[in-house]
Formats: sequence, structure tokens, C-alpha cells
Amino acid sequence: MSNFMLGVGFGLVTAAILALATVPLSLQMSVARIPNFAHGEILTAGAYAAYVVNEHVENIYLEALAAALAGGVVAFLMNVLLLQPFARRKPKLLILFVLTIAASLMIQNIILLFFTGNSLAYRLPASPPHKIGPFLLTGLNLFTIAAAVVIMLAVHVLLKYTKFGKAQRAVADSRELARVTGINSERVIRVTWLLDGLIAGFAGFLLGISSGTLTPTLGQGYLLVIFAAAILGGIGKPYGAMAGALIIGLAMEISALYIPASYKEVVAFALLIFTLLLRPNGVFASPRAAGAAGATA
Amino acid sequence: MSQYLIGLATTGVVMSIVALGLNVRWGWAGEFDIALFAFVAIGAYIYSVFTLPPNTLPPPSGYILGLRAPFLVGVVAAVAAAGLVSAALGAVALRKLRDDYFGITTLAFALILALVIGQYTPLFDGYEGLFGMPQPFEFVQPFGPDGGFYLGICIIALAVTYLILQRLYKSPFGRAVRSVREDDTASAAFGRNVYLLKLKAYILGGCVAGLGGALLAAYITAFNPYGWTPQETFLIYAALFIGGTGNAVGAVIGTFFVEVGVQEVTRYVPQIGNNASSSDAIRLVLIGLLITAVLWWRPQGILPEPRARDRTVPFDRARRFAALASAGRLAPRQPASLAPEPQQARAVPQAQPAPGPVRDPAPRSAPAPAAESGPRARLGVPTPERAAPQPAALAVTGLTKAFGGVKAVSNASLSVQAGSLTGLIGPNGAGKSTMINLISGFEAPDSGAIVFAGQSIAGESAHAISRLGLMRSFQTPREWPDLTVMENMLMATPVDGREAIWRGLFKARALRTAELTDRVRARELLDEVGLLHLKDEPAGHLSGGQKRLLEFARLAAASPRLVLLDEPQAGVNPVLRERLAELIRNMVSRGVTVLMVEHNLPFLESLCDHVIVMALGSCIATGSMSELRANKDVVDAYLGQVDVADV
Repeated sequence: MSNFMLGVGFGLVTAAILALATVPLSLQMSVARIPNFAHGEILTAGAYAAYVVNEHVENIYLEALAAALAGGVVAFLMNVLLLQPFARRKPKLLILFVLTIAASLMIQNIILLFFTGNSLAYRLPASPPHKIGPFLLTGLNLFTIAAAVVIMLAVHVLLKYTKFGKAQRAVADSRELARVTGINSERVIRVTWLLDGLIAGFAGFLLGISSGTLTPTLGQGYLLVIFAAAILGGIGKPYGAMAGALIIGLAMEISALYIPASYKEVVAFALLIFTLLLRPNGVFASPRAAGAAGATA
Repeated sequence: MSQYLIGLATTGVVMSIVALGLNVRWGWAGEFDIALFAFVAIGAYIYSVFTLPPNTLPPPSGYILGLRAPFLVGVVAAVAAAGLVSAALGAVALRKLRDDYFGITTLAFALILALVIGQYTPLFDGYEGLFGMPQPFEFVQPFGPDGGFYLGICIIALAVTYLILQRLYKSPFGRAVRSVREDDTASAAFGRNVYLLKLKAYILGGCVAGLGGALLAAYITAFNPYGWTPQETFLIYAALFIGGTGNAVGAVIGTFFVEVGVQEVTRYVPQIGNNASSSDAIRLVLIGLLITAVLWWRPQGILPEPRARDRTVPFDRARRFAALASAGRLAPRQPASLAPEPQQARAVPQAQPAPGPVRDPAPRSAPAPAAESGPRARLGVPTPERAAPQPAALAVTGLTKAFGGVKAVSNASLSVQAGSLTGLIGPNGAGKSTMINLISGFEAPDSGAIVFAGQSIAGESAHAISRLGLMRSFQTPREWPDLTVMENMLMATPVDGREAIWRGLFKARALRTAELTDRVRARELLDEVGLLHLKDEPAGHLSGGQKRLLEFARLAAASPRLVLLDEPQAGVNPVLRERLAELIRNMVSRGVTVLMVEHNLPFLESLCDHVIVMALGSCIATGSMSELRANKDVVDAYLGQVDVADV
């Protein structure tokens, strides 16, 4: 039982990182509608930016800030320089997908060029585990969970109560209608990408802390787990994405108690495939609505 | 040739085979498959465990089989295994996934496979991988293990693969697969089983990738999970984009460029600092830039997809030969089987079948066109039934379809008499389009019955219904944009068996001959609608009105028994409107039953003697327009919304 609760504890940490990585992807995919294969590289960029700061000063807040800024810049530029010019030509969805693959190749290998393929590690303060209720969590674990909760609340407020959040939902619903009502959808999409990068870059930093070592494929290795959480929760549903992250995070860490830990990604990927096949609009959507969306002739 | 160059050439040739496999999946069928290299890996592993000696590694290492089988057996097993796994994955993933989700699913599959193979050592020795695979025909290799002999084998394999795939590409099978890439809804509407076509293309591509994997394993004589990351698949995509998606020669050029050219050039980039990966990194950044640049400036690649030209005998020559043939002048030797059949009533009176190739009027290759069934039956190529369509009746009872809480169609009943031209009207949201989708099988009804020509068709698949002779048009014409106008016409008639892969491979010539009739007929129909001069243009280049005309020509070529027209007037100018009215009347006079959704009531009244009114998902009245105008329910539900004076 206590082993199980330990698994739940690790699952919560994984879920917190995963939620921070998933919510921005889900938002972006509903507003800008691009299945972003380079999303993992935004995380990687954040993790490496934090590393650069970490080499000079050991301050977790500065590192987090650097990670978020780097992620934001990478995502913003990727949209402005690459995706938006193509999107104006109204290409097929898959062409945009391919472009994000090209972006992923470029970003990942630019990082490889500057930082080599060697594993790097942050200098982190010693963080002994504390017993909190049934869980065994380190200070960094608690920082991760707290940060996730705060940022998720901020996203909630942003979407629900600000003018920008409303504009974002309008663009997600129908770009044409949004334009008719005077919303500059390109601007909304630009800001969405920036926001996407800020949160994802920060998530990359947390991922770097939790995995202990940095390599240029850090984020890419995590990409499908993020997709699994986003699709499980339903693309464009931030709360669904949080729930999806929780389900995937717990499933991965709890499964590691029963099967070899190296298979825990298989669990996430298998959940992804089953979701896509059975409930492509997420587990929280009614299957009927899913059928209707796919069948408009 | 130096060993170095031989090595480069061998890599390029083997990877070209892999690229041809991806070209089938992505170039022909438009399947965004990210698992390609998993199938290369399956081919490589299966080849290895077939040809390696029995396992003697101490546990936990090890591998299965170890049959010491000869090279060719290993290759065949590799191809078969890759094909089988493709069938399994495709059967699940191709069912109804969005394009991008299909890609993600295949990527997840590839990663799961890599993890399992890496972790589970008794299968293929985990991350250590297999090594020491024998090179084929080692005893005859004159130039040592890296000699040109193996390069020769690979070139032969590439040539054979290329020839087989080119033959299939040009065959009716290839055309049908490309139509699915262009617009699978239209393919289903014209009787194609989209799922099966996609699956066949996926398996075919997997087999070719497996062949590449076997040759790769035999060449490098070692294989492990690090050799097939998703990145390898992306490099092949880059090769296709650069070389030209859908073009086999382009695929080979692109592969040599990406896998050999860029690789070799960046090898000479000096190492930056102590970064051992710097040249790799520069190479991949360069490839990312190249993909982007090609997609921006030349999305079709260096060599665009070849366009199928309609190269049959010129129009009047075809007719002349047809006339000669029916006069018996070209009658070949087999009198019994080639006896002319009575001419059937045709849509186009002059529609005479075409003769065989003009250059070679020998009996073998010039089957008397007037007697289609004889020689083609002999050649083993099916021909469509050329009987004039018999009009068929349609009866819908108690049909219901709900989307979430919205009942789009609710307990609706209607009937359409055989040979009639019936209108279907109703305010927006009345459920007309859903009704059309339900009847044509693009949506499955929740309950209710649909009977067409005496058969219950409710819930049948769209392609099956289309093959029964119940066809439909769409509100916006759905042409196959990158197929030529002529190919669009040829796709209109699904002929059982013609699109079989084996016929495409072994009966190519007979298929071409069999298709001559269709081509001549298609030309006549295109001439009738004034599109003949555009027959070799991609249909996507046509104007909106021309696309509408092409749609009617396709429907005529398909010889349906009943046609559902979904707002044929949408977005059409007044001149064309008259032309369309005439085409619809022609259709009916040929014996086709027509049910037409239309908002333009005067147009409808001028054509239809019988009109059905839908409102709120149900059919509320039927009758002539003048009767309906007197019906208070109808006026309330619908006509009240428009200016009655117009009606």
C-alpha cells in the first residue's frame, strides 16, 4: 500500500510537469490548429536556457524565468518566421505538420551544435525527501507541484475572465467569425504562441530537474507523452489537458510499480493509441459528437 | 571504382528503395506515416534472424530463429514480415483517423516497437542488436566484402522495385489510390472502398520498406535499435519533398541528394570545438532548412508528379477504327468469341468502343471493339456491364438521425418513383443534406429503413451503395484536383477487379486495351459538356462552373440508376444554369431517377413535377409546386419565408 502511495506521489510530480507541458500545446492546437511536432524542442530550449543561467548563478527563480523566456522566444519566432507565412497560403494541415518537423530538426540540432550531445546537469541545492502524508517528496517536487497549480490557475483566469481569453476562444471556434467581429486573429495566434512557449519553456526546466540530465533530445523524448495527455483530455480543452496529464502521469508512475520502469512510456503510448482509436476527441467528449465532427461530407 | 564510392552508391541505392516505399504510402496514398523506418527495421531483423546461425549467445542475450537460410529466403521473409505488420497496423490505424492523428499513431507504434525490441533481449538481442549477418553469395564475390558485387544486387533490386511500382502507379489501382489521396469522399461516392485502398497502399509500401531493410542489414551486417529512430524516417520525407512527392525518379534523386550528397558534404565541415556531433548537427539543420525552402519555393519538388496523358488514338481516328471494326474489316480471327454484340442504347449515340492500339492492328492486340466481352474475357480483364441503366425507385421510412441532442432527421419518410425527377426542398436546417448523406451511406441512420431497387440499404457503406447504382453529387463539386480531367472521368466507373493489384502487374496491356472503350466514351461525354480540350489538365485547375460540368460528365460516365443531386445550382451563373437544367433533363430521359435538393424554386419548378418538402427533420408534404403553394403547412414552414410572388 505504501509503495502504491509512493507511486501516486511520483505520479503527481510527473502529472504536474506534464500538465505544464500539455496545456499550452492543447491551447495552441485549438487556436492556431497546428499539430506541433517541435513542441518538445520548446521544452528543450527552456531547459538549456536554465542551464546557462545555472552555470553563473544558482537561483531557481532566475533559471525558471530564463527557461520561460527562451521557450517564449523560440515559439514566437517559429510562428512568425515559419508557420504564419505558410499558413497565409492556406496549405493542407499536413504541410504545416511537416514544417514543424523541420523546425524540430533545426532547433534540436542548433542546440546540439552549441551544447554538444553530452549529458549536462544542473547544479541544484541538496533537496532531501520529506514525508508529507503518505507521500515522499523533495522540496523541488513540491516546488514543481506548487508551480503547476499556480500556473494552471493563472491560465484559468486568463481564459475565463480576460478579453484576450475570450478572443482566443472566439478564434478557436471560427477564425472567419472572429475576423468579422473585429478580432485580429493573427495577433491572437501570435500571442497564443508566445504564451505557449513561456509555459512550455518553464515545463522544460522542470523536466530537466526531474530527469536529472539534459540532452538535446530531452523534449522530443517527452513529446508523445505530451500528445497522449493532450489528446486524452481533448484538444482545446485546458481542463481536459490537466486531467489528461493527471491520468497519464499517474498511469505511468503507478505502472512502474508492477512492470519494469523502462516500459512506462509504452503505457503512455498505448493509452494514446487507444484514445485516438476509440475517442479521438478525448475521453471527456461524447462519442456521438466525435462521430459527427468526422463525418461532415 | 574505389571502395569508398561503392559504399556510397550502395547506401544510396538501398535508401532509394526505402524511399520508394514511402513514396507509395505518402506520395500515392497521402498517408502521413511516421513509422516507415520501423518497417525497415522489421525487414532488417527478420532478414538477420533468418540468415544468422542458431543463437549461441549467453542469456539474457539472444535472438530467435537463426535458420542459416540463404539470402533470397531471408529477403522474402523480410518482405513478408514487413507486409504482415503493415497490414496489422494499417487495419487498425487507417480506419477513421484524421491525417495528423494517423501520423501520431504510427509514431507511437514505432516508438513502442523500438522500446520493446530494445528491452526484450531474447527477441533480437535488445539494444546490443544483431551483427555478423552473412553477405549474400560470399563465395562468388570477386571483390571482397565491400566489392561491387553486392552493389549490383542492390541495383537490380532497385530496378525491379521501380519497374513494379511504375507499372502499378499507372494501373487503375494506382489511379484509385491517388484519387483517395486527392479526395477520399469523392472516391467513396464513386464506389471505391477507401479503407481497403489505403490499406493496400500501406502494405505495399511496407513490403518495399522491408526489402530495403533486408538489403540494409545484409550490407552493414549489423542492426540495432539506434539505427531506426524517427529521424531516419524524416530524412526519407526530406528526400521525397526535395526529389518530388509522387515521382519515383524524384524519390531516387532526392535520396541520393539527402542520404549521400548532404551527408558527404557535411563530413568535410571541420569539427567545432570538442563537439563530436557538430557535423551531424549542421547536416540536420541544413536538411530542416532544405525542407522549408522546398515547401516554400517549389512544393512539387525537383521532379513533379508525372501527369497521366490520355494517349489513346485521336478522337476521330478512334471512331473510324470503331466503324471499320463494326463493318468487319478489322475482325480478328476468333469469329465465335468476337461476334459483334447488338449495340445498346447509349447516352451518347455515337459511342462506339475503340479499337486496340493503332500501330499494331494484329488480331492479338486489336480486339474488335464492337465485341467487348469476348477478347477481354479471354485476356482476363473485366469490363463494365454496358446495359442501359434501369431506373430504380427509392423508399425511405421512419428515418431518424441525431447529432448529440439535435435531431437532424426525425422519423422522415419519402418515396421517389422510378424514372422520375423529384425535388427536395425545405428551409435551412430542415435536414435535407443529412437526408442525402443518410441515403448515400455517408452517415449511418439511428433508425429507419431505406429501400433502393428492392434492397434495404440503410447503414450500408457509401461505396457499396454507390456500386448498387445509387450515386450522389455534392454541394461543392468534389473533383480529384491533381488527377487529370480524363482520369477523373475514368475514375467514375468502378469496374470490379480492374483495380486488383495482380492485374495491374500482370495484365497491364490488357487493362489498357480494355480501358480504350471508356476513354472514347469519356471523350464524348467531355465533348458534350465542352471540356474535351481540357482532358489532360488537372481537374483542380478548372473553374467552378467547369467543375460542375465535369461532375455531370462523371455521373453520366458512371451510368447510375438513381442520382441524388445536392444543390446542383449552388454558385452557378445563369447561363450555366440553363445548361445544367438541360443536363439534368438528359439524365432523366436516359432513364436515371433523380432526387434533387435545390433552393432555387423557379428552377426546381421548371424541372420537377413532384416535390417533397422537409421541415424540422421530417417530410411534411409532397406534390406539385402548385399543390404545395396551396398547402398551408408548407407555406408556414417554408414558402412563407420567401416572397411568394417569386415562387
